[in-house]
Amino acid sequence: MKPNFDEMSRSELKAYILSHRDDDEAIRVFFGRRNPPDSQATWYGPMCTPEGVPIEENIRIAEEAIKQRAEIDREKQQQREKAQEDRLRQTLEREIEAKLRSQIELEVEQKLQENLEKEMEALISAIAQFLASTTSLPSRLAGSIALLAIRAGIEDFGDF
Amino acid sequence: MRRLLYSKVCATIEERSINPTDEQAQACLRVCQMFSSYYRDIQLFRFNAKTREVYIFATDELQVIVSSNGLWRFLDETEL
Repeated sequence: MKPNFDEMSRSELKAYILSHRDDDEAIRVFFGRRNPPDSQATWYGPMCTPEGVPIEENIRIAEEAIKQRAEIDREKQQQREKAQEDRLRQTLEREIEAKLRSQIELEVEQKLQENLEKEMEALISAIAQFLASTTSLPSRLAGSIALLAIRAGIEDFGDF
Repeated sequence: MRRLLYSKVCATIEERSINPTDEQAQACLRVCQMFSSYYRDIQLFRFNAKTREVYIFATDELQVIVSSNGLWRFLDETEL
């Protein structure tokens, strides 16, 4: 079943006719939406006589009209392409930034984690040394106690 | 049998016939060449056997109708 061409928007109809090149009805409806209507339109004269003799003045007028329209159309197309390119570039930049940011954050987090682990080791070792030197605890036991003390909360260490 | 087949073939051809006037054909040729000269591609070109008009779709905003008497117009004059 064919769609109702009269109810289709211009862009829908355009897409339809460009994918249905031999659908005369759809093409006729598209080209029937004229602005202004034929009675008020600028009609350009024939470019030759019925005998095939070129009408130079009409050819010149046609050339001028098409040149003007084509140049404006080309400029607008270039502007559209540039705008599209800019949008694409911005999207890419945002995507790259987002991707890099998460990578950087991950690396920083890993580094911090490593530093923290090193500091913890140093702290445990210092407490163990302190315990071993101030008490008669064997150093292996002092290490374990230091670890327990840290897990219990370093603030109360003095009351140990 | 032959005649029947022949008339059927003719009818089919008639439905899709392309029979522009000389003025129309000349106008189409020149309009297309002008579009080409100004780097405007032609996306769709169609002779309508019922209306006997030629429809030339160059770009989204640039289309031309060529009537059978060789006169032609832009589909939308205010688009640009």
